[in-house]
Amino acid sequence: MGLKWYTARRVAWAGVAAFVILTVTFVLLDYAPDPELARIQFRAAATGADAETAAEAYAERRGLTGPLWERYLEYLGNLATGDWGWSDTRSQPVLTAILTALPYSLMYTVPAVALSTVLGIAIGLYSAFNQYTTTDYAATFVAFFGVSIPNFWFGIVLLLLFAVQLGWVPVLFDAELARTRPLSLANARQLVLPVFVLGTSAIASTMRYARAEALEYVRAAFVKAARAKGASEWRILTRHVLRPTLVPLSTILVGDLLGIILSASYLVEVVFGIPGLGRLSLEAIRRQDTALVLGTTLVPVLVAVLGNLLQDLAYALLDPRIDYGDR
Amino acid sequence: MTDPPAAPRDSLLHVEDLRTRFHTDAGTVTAVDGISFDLDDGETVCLVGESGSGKTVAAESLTRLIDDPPGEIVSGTVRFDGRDLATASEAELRAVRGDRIAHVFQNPQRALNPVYSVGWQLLEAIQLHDDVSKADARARAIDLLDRVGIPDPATRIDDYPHELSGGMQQRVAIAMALAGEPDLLVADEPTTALDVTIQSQVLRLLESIQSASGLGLLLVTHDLGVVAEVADRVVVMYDGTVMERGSVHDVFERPSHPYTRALLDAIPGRDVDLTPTAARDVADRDPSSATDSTTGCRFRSRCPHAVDACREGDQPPLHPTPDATTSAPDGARAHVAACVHFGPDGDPDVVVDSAKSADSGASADESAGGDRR
Repeated sequence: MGLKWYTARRVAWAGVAAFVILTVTFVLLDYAPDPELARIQFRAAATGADAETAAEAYAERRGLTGPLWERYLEYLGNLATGDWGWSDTRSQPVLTAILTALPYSLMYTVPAVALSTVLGIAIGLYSAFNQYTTTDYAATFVAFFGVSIPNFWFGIVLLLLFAVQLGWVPVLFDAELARTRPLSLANARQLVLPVFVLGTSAIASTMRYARAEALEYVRAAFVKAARAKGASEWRILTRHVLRPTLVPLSTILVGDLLGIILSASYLVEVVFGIPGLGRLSLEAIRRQDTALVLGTTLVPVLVAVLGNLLQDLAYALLDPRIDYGDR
Repeated sequence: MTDPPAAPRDSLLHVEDLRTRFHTDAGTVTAVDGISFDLDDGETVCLVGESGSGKTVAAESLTRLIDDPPGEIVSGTVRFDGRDLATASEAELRAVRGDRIAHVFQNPQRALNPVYSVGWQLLEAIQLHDDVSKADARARAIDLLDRVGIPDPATRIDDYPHELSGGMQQRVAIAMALAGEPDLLVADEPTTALDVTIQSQVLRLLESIQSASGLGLLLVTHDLGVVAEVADRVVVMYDGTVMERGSVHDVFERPSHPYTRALLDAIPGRDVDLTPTAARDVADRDPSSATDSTTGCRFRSRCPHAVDACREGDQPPLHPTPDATTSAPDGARAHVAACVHFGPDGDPDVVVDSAKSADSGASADESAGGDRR
């Protein structure tokens, strides 16, 4: 029993989890109302034809006949080969729609997550080491501010101030610019506000958790022992406190990531007009594009499965006390 | 404050009038209130007292390990090897910690970082003060583990703390403390968290290390049995102050301060009653009230020999006891007690002889309250 075996088992479990989720998705898809089918039946009824026949013809065309298990296997096969269905509202494959939207989302979520993780942990540790000082209170204030303030409102206010009043950044997100010159300064400028808005909320929760976790260790006997050995404060912070702190924190990081992708991105993308995954999903829901809704839902689901897998591995790497023998 | 400013003969450690305060929400607590003692090369000094007497704070104040804030060393000197650690800079302290003065803590399980291997932590201790290669440091770490009696050290070095027993963990902690070849080892209740059988092993290990390397040992303990076994000299603390100080022989054979006498009485199986029954509740005492409004002797409310003079002023200074002439004559090493009865106007016989007269009938049922932590 070692780390390799543990890793193999965790990966297998991630596969099982993904399988269960895909199955649930399939069942939902099967029972979900199909607006296209409703339209065909309505048209058939209006022209005096038999609505049932029209529905059967539609099902035949879509490959929706045959027993459930057969369609299930086909569905799994299609998913595996990249055929995630057809988006009626966009007249393009679901996967193409998602892959088109994804880069726009990544452009602001990746910097926001990276910044909030690094800064959140850094500020949290600093706060823990300087508990009840002015800087600690200031950091706490910023954290509560970030947690309390609604993203969409904050985004609008920032847009009004920095884009409309001061004119430092563009009001409208230029997707063409982002697509053709993603690494340009102009693109960075239009991404500053979304990153900032998303970052403030994520940084706040990371910071609070990092502070609370680190506080458990700041006064720990082993920290005192390290100090008695002659270790510097910096060494104590980065070696002795950070690592045990990271164990519970890795759980929160995955949750934060999901929070950003699942909910925050909807609001931020609508406010800033970014044609990313959140907007795509929102449009799909509003226009009852079932295949696209499920497709866009699968993305965060897969992120969750992958994130939990990484988190399990992080636990075992960070804390030797976590026994990976029989799980 | 009380010692004649004993021209600091070059003792390894000279603590004078050390005062450590903690600022808490409930007010300021003076945990260590002006203690003085000396420790020489190769000498074992025991800091004895019950829980809350300030002995741990005193030990951790030496290299300023106390949490600051809320803790603060308000006055006093900690002269170590010619330098005053109480006013030294952080960088100077770091150079002393681990290299010249090492600490061993009460609970080995908590004193070792759970997420790093034993070897990692030993290597850290070695490499913090010695610029040696990793391979050399590892060889030294294995040697250290061997010295503290860890079987199969070359394998055990890769273990994590949770894979070792409590006794082994404390041995590792001691090995870590020895990594810098210190001149002074401060061991704060090193055996308290261990099994009784392991306690004596660890104690014997400390003794053998001391005799082998000649380092000074400051042992903080509440266990008078340990004191009797290993100490050269004893400092008895109560409520942040030194009540009595002297060689182990003097303190055990001729305990002078009423508190020391009560403390010795609390040892189960000790037949001689040193104090009247009134003071035998010493084991059941409430932790000292944490407020800073002491006047007079801190022990007076529970002292069977309290007189009006005990209420006045501060804690009485450390007066030489009648047998002081028989021990070393100079101030730092004399047998002294902070009690008015030993002062110029007092009569030591009030304390020393009272047991014979006042408490003859009550000794039949031995109080069993001595076994406290």
